Formats: sequence, C-alpha cells, structure tokens
Amino acid sequence: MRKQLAAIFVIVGFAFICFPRSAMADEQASIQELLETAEPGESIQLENHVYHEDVVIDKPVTIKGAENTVIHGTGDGNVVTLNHDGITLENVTVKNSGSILDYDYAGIKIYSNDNRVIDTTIEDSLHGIYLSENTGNELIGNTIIGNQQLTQSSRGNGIHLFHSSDNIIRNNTIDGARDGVYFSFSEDNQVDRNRITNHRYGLHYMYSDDNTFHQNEFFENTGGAAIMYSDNITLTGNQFYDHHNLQSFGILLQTANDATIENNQIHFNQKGIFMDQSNRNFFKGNVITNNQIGLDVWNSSINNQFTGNHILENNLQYTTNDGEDDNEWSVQGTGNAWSDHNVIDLDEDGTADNAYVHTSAFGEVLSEQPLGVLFLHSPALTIYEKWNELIGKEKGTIQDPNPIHVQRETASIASFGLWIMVLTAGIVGFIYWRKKRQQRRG
Amino acid sequence: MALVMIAKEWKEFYRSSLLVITAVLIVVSAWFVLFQYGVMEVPVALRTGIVSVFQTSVYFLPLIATVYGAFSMAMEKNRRTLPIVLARGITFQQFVLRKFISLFAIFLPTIMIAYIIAMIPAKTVFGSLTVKEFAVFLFSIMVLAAIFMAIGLLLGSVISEKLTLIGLIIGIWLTFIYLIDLLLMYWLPSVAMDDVLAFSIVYFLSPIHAVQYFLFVQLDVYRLSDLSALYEQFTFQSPWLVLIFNAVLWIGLAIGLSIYLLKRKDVSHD
Repeated sequence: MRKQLAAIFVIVGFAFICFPRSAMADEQASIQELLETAEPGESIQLENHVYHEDVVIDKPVTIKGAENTVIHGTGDGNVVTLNHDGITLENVTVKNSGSILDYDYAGIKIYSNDNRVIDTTIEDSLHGIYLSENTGNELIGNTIIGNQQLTQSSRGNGIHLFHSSDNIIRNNTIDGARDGVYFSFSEDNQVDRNRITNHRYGLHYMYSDDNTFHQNEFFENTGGAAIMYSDNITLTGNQFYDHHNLQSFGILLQTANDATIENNQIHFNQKGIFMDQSNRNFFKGNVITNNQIGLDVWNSSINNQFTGNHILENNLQYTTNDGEDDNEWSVQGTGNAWSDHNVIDLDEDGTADNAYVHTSAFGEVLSEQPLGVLFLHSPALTIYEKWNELIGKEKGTIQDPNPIHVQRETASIASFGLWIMVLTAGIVGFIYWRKKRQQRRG
Repeated sequence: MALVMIAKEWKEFYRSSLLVITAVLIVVSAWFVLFQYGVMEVPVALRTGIVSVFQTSVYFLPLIATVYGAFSMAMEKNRRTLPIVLARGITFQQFVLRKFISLFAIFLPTIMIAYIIAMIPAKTVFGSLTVKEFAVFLFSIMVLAAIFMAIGLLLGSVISEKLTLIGLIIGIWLTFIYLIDLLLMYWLPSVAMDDVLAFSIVYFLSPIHAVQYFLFVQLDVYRLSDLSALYEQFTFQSPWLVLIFNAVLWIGLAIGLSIYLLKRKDVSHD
C-alpha cells in the first residue's frame, strides 16, 4: 500500500513539474483566440471554465457562457470591452477589473451601439457596466455587486452612462457600488424594474434629459435618487424606501425641471422628497408616508404642481427654508390627502370642504441648522410645533384648497404615546380590580 | 447573600404586578407596531420596525424602570428591612450594589423575554430577520433600562413618601422624554460651528439620546462615513464610547449618590 501511494505521489509530482498550470490552461482556447477565428454573426459558446484574461470584442458576435463561466480579468483594465455594434454577451460572470478611478475601468465597458448584455454577473470590478458615448444598448437581468474591498467613495458605479442615449436598462440588480446607476449627459433612456440597494445614491443623475424610470426599487442607499441639472424626467411606479441616514432622501431634485413624478411609493426615508431650484415639476398620485420629513420644498422651487398625492404620517409633513411658497397644491380641483387634516366633507364628493393649511416652526430651524434632524425622532417635536403654533411663531405656510380623503395604510408612530398611556391605564385598572376582588374574597 | 436578594426581589416583583404590566406593555406595544406595518402593502425592513419599537419603548420603559428601582428601594426603608440588613454587617455600598444587581437580574430577563415574544410575529411582517440587529436592539434596551433603574434607586434612597416619589418619578420621566429635547431644540438655532462640541456633549448626556445614537449607528440608520464637517464635529466620539460613558456616568452617579445619601441619613439607626 505504501509503495502504491508513493508511486502516485511521484507521478502526480512529475505531472505538475512537466505540465505547469498555464500550460494545462492552454489546452482551453482563450476567448480572445475564439474571437479571432469567429465570423461576424457567429455564436460562441463558452465552457464551464474560468478564463483568465481581458477580452476585447470587435466584431458582431454572440458570446454565451455556461452555468459557471467566469471571465477573470487581469486587474489592469476593463475585463470585457465591446468595441463593435451588435454584440451580445450573455450568462457570464465577470470579475477583477482595474481599480483606478481616473481610468474608469469596468467589468464590461461598451463603446459601441446596439449591443445586448444579458444575465451577466459582475463582481470585484470598479464600475459594473460602463456605457460610453453610444446608443441603443440593452442591459437586461444583470447582477452587479460593488467591490467591497474598496471604500464606498473609491468604488465605481453599478451602471454608468456617459453621453449614452436610447438604452434599455431593465431587471438588473445592483448592490453595494458607489452609485447604483449614474447618468451624465445621457438622454432618452428607459430604466425599468431594477433593484438598486446599498449605494451612496441609488440613482445619480446629472445633465441628462428625457429619461424614463419605471417600477424600479431603490432602498437602503444613503440617498434614493439624486436628480440634478436635468429636465423632462419621468418617474412612475418606483419605490424609494429605507433611506435613513442623517442627510438621506427618497428623491432629491436639484435644478431639475418639468419632471413627471407619478404613482411612486416613497416611505421610511429621512426626507421623502427634497427640492431646491426645481420648477414646473408635476407630482401626482405618489404615496409619501412614514418619512421623517415628507416634503422639503425650498422656496427656490416654484410652479410645481401637487395633486392626488397621499402625504401621510410623516413626522413633519412639509418643511421649507424660508419665504413664501409658490407652488400649486391642487390641480383642477383635486388636492392631496394629508394625514394631519381633519376632513369635513358634507357633500361627500371625496374632496374636503375645508382647506388644508400647514405651518411648521421646526422646519425653519431645520433649514438653518442641519443638526435639527436629530430631533425628528423626538417625542418633544409635536409639543414644540403645537407651542409655536399657539404663540404664532410658525412659518412656511402652504395651503391645499381641495384636500382629498386619506386612504390609511400607514404606521403612525406619533400616536403610540397616547395608545400606550391608555393601555397602561387599562392594565393598572385591571390589576387594581383583581386585587380588590381578591381582598374581598380573602 | 446576592442570591438571597435576587430571590427576594423576584418575589416582590412578581407580587407587585409590575412584571405583568411590563411584559404586557412590551408585547402589546410591539405587536401594535408590527400590526401597522403588517397591513402596509410596501416592503418594510426589520431595522425600520426595530426603530419604531424602540421609539415606542422610549415612552414607557424608562418610566417603568424608574418606578421599579425607586419603589423597591423605598420599600426597603419603609418596611425597615434596610436597617435589619445593615445590622447583619453589610455596608451601605454592598447593600446598594447588591440591590442594583438583583434588580437588574430580575428586570432585564423579564423585558428580554417579553421582547423576544413580541418579535415572534416579526417573521411575517419583515422580509428578513437578522439576529444581529435584534441583539443590538435588546442590548440597547437593557442599557436604557439599567440607567433608569439606577436613577430610580437614587430616588427611592432620597424619598420614602409614596406620593412625593410618584411625582418625582413623573417629573424625571417628563424631563428626559420632553424637557431636555425642548431645551435643546430652542438652543439649536443659535448653535454656531464653535458650539457644536458643547451641544454634542449636552445632547449625549441624555441616556435616551446616547442609547438611540448607539442603536441607530449599529443598525446603519446613521452612517458615520462621508459626513459633513458639522456632523463630524457632532459625532466626535464612537457610539460605543458614548454609550459606555453615559451608562457609567448615570449608573455610577446614581449609585454613588444613593450610598452617600443613605449614609448621611444614617438609615441603620431609624
């Protein structure tokens, strides 16, 4: 037995010396070699194999991975580069791009048009997918996980668009990059049904007009969607939730104009919607609930329209920095539902007969002193607001002339105190009654 | 001796019905939160629920812990068990420390079990349950309860009369829940950059703020990376240090003062 084992060791050792790892891998053609021999329009089926290389695709082919196909980059540049129109990359795992931010390295970098990247997984890379100066690409069903070995500010973005238009970005899951999806000078893109979590900003958006975001889920980022210096954005049916940090928000509009923001769910954020220097935006049918601040609309934002929104159970429903509000809180006779409004609706038409007027003294404190957010959880906040209302010190008035009925399905933390006091009294009463009864029996 | 005291505390705690009140309040208030989230048609993360349960608990848990500590100590004096214990050769220091430990040993498991029971339906409400998040919450709640129990112990050492004690407990509770925050909120507009450190120190002197800050950072509700200069200055110490400092300060101060005041009144010769 010992002799047999010794013989096996000798043979295996001899094999390792004579056929080192690189030589054995050579038996498997590299992707680059396969590409060199492929004809345009050909489909290349990769094997269950880890390919150690950076790949540059410069002809219109389809590359399909098997169940466990991995393209492991050299760590010195982009792992997969698409340099020709009409390429399809499908079902591969891409790892280990270079990590120098100045060079914008990516797991998959696309310089060409009309490509499709489908069902890929991208890990340990700077940017996930980088679209550079191109048009008409489709990114569908990809999973992008940010490089957790880097600090968040040193990571790249999940999907990065630079001068890239008419793309479809759909059903992707992006987790733990710097920004989930980053737009810069990119127009007419359609972003649907993506799940974007654990980033600095879920959506970071600069100088990009006419893009559509539909049914995406932004959660547990530092900020949900930061939309800046852009016009004509459409946000419909998206969810923005669990952005709790001291300076977090569901949606931020900074110098963003003429956006349509409709039927979105915005809840459990530090601020639901924050607006500065953003004009003529249209908000309809959004549900803005259980945020610390529902709406923070600075007076630099004017001519915005709010109709049919449900603004419910936020610790502060509305705040502003200073000055007069110049926005419309009712459009064509339909205002918004406010959970802190006692609706009187004698004609039962669904619209209140009494206007909703909101004022907040603490909103002004918040606009001047950012540390004010520390007290948004405080039980004393309600007392502070009520007291200032009594002495007439409140500011930041808005008026909704046609508020609508509230459809309640929210959690009201503020009313817990009262409930608990009632509950305590009930329990104490029960115990007292029980003791009395025992005494009588005794 | 310590075990005897724990057994005695358990009997008193059980008989006083405070056990039932505490457990029922915890369970019902937490279920109330869970129920409200359960009927929402939107995803709710566990940490969101935990934050709400914590905010709810802040209303009543400090009050109950203070009541428990205060009345337990006051009863020792009123029933004259304290002079008897002291006559057996136990010092004031030993008595107060053992009293605190035995109260701690009874009250904390009770609330822990109550919160565990309270969170049983959480699985159906939240997408996923993380043991670490819940453990951090339990730890925070325990520290909060321990601090207010020590404060209660001090109140019970000072005052024996029932009505005065109740008034003082409510006063202390209102101070920590409302008054401190109101004062800080009125101070806030005049806090310049140079004053942030002082504001931070005063803010974190409140046990509720210190525990909440610790919990929120651990739950990633507050992230301490990439903060502005203002917040950098405000959060000048790590949450662990803030919590430990606050707990040591309040518990140490309350127990130390209790010992001092009991000695000064010389309860052993009552």
